[in-house]
Amino acid sequence: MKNKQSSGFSLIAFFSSLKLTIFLLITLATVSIIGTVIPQNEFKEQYLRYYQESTYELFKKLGFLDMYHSWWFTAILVLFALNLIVCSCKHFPRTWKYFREPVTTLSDSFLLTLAHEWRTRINARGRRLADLAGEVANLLSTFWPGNWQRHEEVDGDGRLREVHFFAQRGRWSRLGVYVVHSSIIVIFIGGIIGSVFGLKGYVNILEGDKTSTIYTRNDARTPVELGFTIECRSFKVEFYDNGAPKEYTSDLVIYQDGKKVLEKTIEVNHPLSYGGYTFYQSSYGTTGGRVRLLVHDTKTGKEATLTLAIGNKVTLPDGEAWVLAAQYEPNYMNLGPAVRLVLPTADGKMIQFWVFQKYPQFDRQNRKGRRYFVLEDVDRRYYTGLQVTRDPGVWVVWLGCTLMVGGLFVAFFISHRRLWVRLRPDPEKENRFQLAVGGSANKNQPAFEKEFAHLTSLLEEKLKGKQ
Amino acid sequence: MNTHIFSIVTFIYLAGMVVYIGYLAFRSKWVSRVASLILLGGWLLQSFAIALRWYESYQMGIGHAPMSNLYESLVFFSWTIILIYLIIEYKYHLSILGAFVTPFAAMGMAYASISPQVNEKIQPLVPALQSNWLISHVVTCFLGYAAFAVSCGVSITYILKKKQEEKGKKTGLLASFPSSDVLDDLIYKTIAVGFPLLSIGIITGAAWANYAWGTYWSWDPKETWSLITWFIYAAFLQRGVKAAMLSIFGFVAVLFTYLGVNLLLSGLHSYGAG
Ligand code: HEM
Repeated sequence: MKNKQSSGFSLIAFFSSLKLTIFLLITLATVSIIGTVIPQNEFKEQYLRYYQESTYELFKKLGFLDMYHSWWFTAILVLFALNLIVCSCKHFPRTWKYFREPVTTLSDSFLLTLAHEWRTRINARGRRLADLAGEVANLLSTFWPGNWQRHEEVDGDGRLREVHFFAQRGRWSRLGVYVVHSSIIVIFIGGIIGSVFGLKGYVNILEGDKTSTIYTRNDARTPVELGFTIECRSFKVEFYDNGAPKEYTSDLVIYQDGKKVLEKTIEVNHPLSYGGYTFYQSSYGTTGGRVRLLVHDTKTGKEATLTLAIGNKVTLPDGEAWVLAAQYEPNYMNLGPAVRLVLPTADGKMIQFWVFQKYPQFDRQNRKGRRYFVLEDVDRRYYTGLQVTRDPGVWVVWLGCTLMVGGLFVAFFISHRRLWVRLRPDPEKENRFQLAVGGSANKNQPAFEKEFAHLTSLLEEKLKGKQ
Repeated sequence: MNTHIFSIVTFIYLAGMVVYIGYLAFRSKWVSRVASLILLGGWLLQSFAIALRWYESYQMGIGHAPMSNLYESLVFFSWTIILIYLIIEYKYHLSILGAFVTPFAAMGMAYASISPQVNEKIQPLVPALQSNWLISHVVTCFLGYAAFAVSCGVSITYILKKKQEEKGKKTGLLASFPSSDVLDDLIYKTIAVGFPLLSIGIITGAAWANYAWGTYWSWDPKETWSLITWFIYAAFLQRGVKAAMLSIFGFVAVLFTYLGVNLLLSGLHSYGAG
């Protein structure tokens, strides 16, 4: 029994040790580097381009390929959370006592421990201790308006012997550290809620299409039912002059039980939320679609219209060759919609070239072959790529973050300032009083020093000036 | 236009740095005055050029705050370092620190102006960066980084001074430095400013990522390195550690988060944030 207890105690000592904290923080910092050097969560083929098969297997075993979710990384985080909780629980009662029950009287020995102290003697000039204490109280409340605690000590005969005053400001700063520490736990909880109950998925919707299912990141085969229907009514993309996309937007409509309930245009940085899910504009693309080409044969002078799908080829009307529509780009080289064509030449080689919808004469002027092609139309359909998430823990995370920032400000920038004043008759001389002032602050000493000097000069001037 | 002014600012900061180092040797009040004036002049000119760049981006029709690429962030980083340094010099009369802090700003500007890796053109913003979060995120991160840069400079001074105090020497270059206690306090204060700012920087980054992509944390190298930095400074805040060394370590991590990730790790990764 005794044994058990002592091992329990040492476990608490272990978990509440600041050495462990520093060790864990430095360990977390160090091991986190691994995941920034080794690419995470890629396909095996990709890894095999940088690593040997055996290295790949080793890394996989060690969890280095998804290290932030590996058992050992999780274990360090759990240890860290335990450390934080045990340590805070151990220290908190003392701080709370300190917070709730401050020392309100100024003994001589206590005065010696204070960083700021000042003593003087005051001539009684007929004033009684109670009178002078009243004067002091008035002065103090002009200096720091508000709650000065007054404590009187009487001797055996009920005569007033000592009067103490105490006031403090910014005592909340003592709790800041605990707010910071708890905020970390709150953020952990939020993260856990998110990973247990949340979902990360994606869906591609063709312009004009609807869907009521999405796919998760980890499992591209089993669809997840949304419980409502989402439609991509239209999709637009604009480009900068250098060809980079400037903005892309999707007009989305949500239907619940067949009825339209929400309509919103989303773009990057402006998502749509409905039914616990949020839809983010994350990518876009185009389906192959069908291409309409005009082919002009300079030898025969004949023209013909061809329709074909991207990736397919058709025989030309003259029967001597075929053309393949190899690739479609909505804005190739920033010249608008374009299709890459592949054509066999007379000597059996292949040539490839681009035709542009906006520049019908392009092929005729540039290639100067026997036939020239004009891209008349592309039945292109954009699809919008939406990232879909459901994260019920995110609010907990933001709560934790707010607590953390608030706690840090309180802990770092609010100074806990305390002042004590004691008045008593001078034991060495009749008709004289002793006045002692003590002060302490846990931050910004220069500012407090000034404040303290201000108080003492006020007392000096007002109480002794009348002599 | 603005880039020419930034080149001039680079030379001014380099000159300021030289005079501050000269002050270590000569220690005349006069020299430190000149150094402060050079620095202040350079900073004012830089502020003007930043505003000008902002304005010019609007004239080009792609208006955005000048904080969107490596060049602009280096300029902003130097600007904040000098700002924080000038405030400390004014408040604590510690011109001696200039020799240890101005080099960070001067190097930042020189790197921005000279390195071929850094594109100084005003570029349009890709959609992901078109957000008000950009400014709050970048400003808080870089204010934090700058506070850590100053803290690192103070820490170097502290270590030199501490060595001298242990030897008991009363003369020489280091004798006029503030006592190691004062410096230690200043290390703590600068980190007490930097740490909340870094925390807010990470949080605004997470909030932005959540708003733009639906995940507040995805362990990409930039995020992870900012967290590594945060861990190091968090260790610093718990009592009983060698503060000056951790502060220097921390700043190395800051530099890696800021530059190393982009320059060294980007070969294998591409980030959503661009
Ligand atoms: C990333 C995690 C942590 C952060 C961000 C953090 C933050 C802080 C901050 C801001 C302070 C106040 C420093 C000051 O006012 O000078 C502090 C103090 C402290 N921390 Fe932490 N802390 C963390 C983890 C821990 C852990 C795990 C423990 C458990 C052993 C711990 C124990 C303490 C103690 C005992 C103090 C001193 C309290 C006092 O001065 O009254 N901290 N911490």
